[in-house]
Amino acid sequence: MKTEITFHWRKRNLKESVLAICYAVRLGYTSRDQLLSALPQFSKSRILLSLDALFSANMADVNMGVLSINSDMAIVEEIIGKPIVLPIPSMEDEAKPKLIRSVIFNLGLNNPAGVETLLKATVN
Amino acid sequence: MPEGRVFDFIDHLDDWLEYLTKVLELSKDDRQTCVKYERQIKYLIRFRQGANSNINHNRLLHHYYGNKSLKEGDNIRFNRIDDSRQRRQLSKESERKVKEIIAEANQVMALDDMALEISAPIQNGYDDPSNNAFDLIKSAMSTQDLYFLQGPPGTGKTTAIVEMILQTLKAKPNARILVASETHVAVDNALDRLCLIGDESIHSKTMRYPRYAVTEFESKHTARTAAEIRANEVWNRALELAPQLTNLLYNVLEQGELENGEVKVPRWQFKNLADKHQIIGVTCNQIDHLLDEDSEDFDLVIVDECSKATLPEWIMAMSVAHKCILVGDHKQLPPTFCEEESEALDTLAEAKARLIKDGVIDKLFEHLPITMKGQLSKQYRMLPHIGSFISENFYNGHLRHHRKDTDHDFTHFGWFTYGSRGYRIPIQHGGVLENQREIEIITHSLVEICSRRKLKAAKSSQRKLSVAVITPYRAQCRALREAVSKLDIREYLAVEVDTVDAFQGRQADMVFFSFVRTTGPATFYADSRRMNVAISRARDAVYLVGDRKYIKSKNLDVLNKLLSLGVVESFLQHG
Repeated sequence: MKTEITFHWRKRNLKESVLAICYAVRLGYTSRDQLLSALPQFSKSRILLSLDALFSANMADVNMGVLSINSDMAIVEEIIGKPIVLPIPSMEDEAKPKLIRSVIFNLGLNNPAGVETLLKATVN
Repeated sequence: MPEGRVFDFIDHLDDWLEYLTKVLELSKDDRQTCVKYERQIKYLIRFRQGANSNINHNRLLHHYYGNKSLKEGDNIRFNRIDDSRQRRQLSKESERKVKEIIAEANQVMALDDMALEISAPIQNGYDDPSNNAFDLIKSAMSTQDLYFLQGPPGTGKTTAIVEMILQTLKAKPNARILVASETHVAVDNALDRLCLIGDESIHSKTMRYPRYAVTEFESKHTARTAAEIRANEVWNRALELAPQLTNLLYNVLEQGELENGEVKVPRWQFKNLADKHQIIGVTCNQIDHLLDEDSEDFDLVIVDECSKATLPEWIMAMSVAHKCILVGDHKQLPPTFCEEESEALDTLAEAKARLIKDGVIDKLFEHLPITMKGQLSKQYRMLPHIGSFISENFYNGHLRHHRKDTDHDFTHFGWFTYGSRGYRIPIQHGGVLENQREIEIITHSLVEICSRRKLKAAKSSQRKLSVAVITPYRAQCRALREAVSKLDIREYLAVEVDTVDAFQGRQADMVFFSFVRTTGPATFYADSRRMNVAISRARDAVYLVGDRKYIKSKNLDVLNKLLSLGVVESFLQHG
């Protein structure tokens, strides 16, 4: 038996707006007003809630009025929804949080607590 | 109502949950239908737990549904004060702090206050002193939580809905308003009228989810307010403002399924659009498509045709808003139940099933205090001879009539009858309900009306008259449609054929009502609400097509009153 670990968004309602903000910031839309005007597909409240989620997870930062996104978000975008198969036997529930944290570290993520604030992992 | 028995709204919610669970079991092969019932169960449970926008809705319904409201007046508190609980004496300092907290809370709550004082009407047509409509709108606006506006046929329900939306926006420019109904057509009509009356600022705030069902609009601005069109607009705007980002997002973000070669708009997009619009039109069952826990509540929901909606449907709408105005008419048809739904109802105790089937709107209306309900009393549809019949037989004579005459010759209200000796419809018990003799009478009459119009048109230009051919039975409806489609009358008459239930909410210059049966039970017509709907669709003329002897033999109240009308001999005498 192998173990499979999959990451999902905790706030599924904000999935698209969080992603859109990350892409927008990388393309240079780094202020609140720039984001709001470049993303008319999203409501102001959902953009603000998504920013709030990113700040809470320490995945976004503002310096001198310029918004930046933690580089961990690029890895988060890659791993989301894709099962990661591990060559280890199935394990007890108590051991799962440790395994999740270890996988997050080994994927090269620097802000594991932030990742776990944004994502929920299921281990099968 | 049996004396001594307490009718409890929570019991009724539980009956609904029991019924919905049964119907869910029976429909397990149809995933789409299951989703609908699951959603209704979810909202009912939420409402039962008080997890809706305004807890006063639960209190009010609980209170006024039960016959205990008759004894306890308008005090809607759940419990009396428990004397056994000892209250601790507060220190002066604590008392001052409590007062401060309450004052602060009141200040915040005042922002949500939906009891609005309005002065003058925004639309024209409310200056007639014999019309109580604006008084009722004032009353509806001044209530904080709940109002029930009963609108008999043709009394201007849609106009009243538009007025209430405009008045709410005038008093609270940032208010979020939901217009919901059980049917797409009712939602479409309300938003179309709103677009006609409102200016650009109203158009830009309005959205119909997901699209309009009707194709012809009163206003040229209406079509643009469809959510699917709005979705395209925002992507196009994004493309202008940030082309590289928009192309990237279009590829990486979840898009809708492919249907008939077109990509459907995804749900997340609709939810964002719903956040961005203040006036949203949607059917009750689709409300959940637009909302999640990150959505803002609505300040006002107006539920049109609420008597036609099932309890979970109007509860779903009520659950998402602080104030609810129910607009409908419990003297017209109650909700319809499909085969699986009727099967599930049969498994319930008879009393429970009857309550579910008939709806509880009439009971609520009866018990609500006068400040929370009203009946529109002036009808603008029917000519007085039809309107009086409707008023006297279904509304205790409370309706007044606006129209006095019409621009054509067909103003009859009477019978086309025939002898049915040896002509049995249905032929045997449970047989097909299709009556060729009545179809012949109707098609012959339509041709005759058409030729009269043609003659007139040769002298002066004549508008196309609308005709509704209505029947209670589907088989007759199909046969009538086929027969009418073969007639060459389209140039002068616009004929629609449908069942009574499907015709609710529409109107026509003339109505032909085909009774079909010449033998067997007449339970279908015995429901006065069905006959009310059938006749009140007509503006100028009603032709009842049936075997008067059979109908007389049934000795049913509403049919006996119809029998007192005369037989229409010929159109020629009047033409």
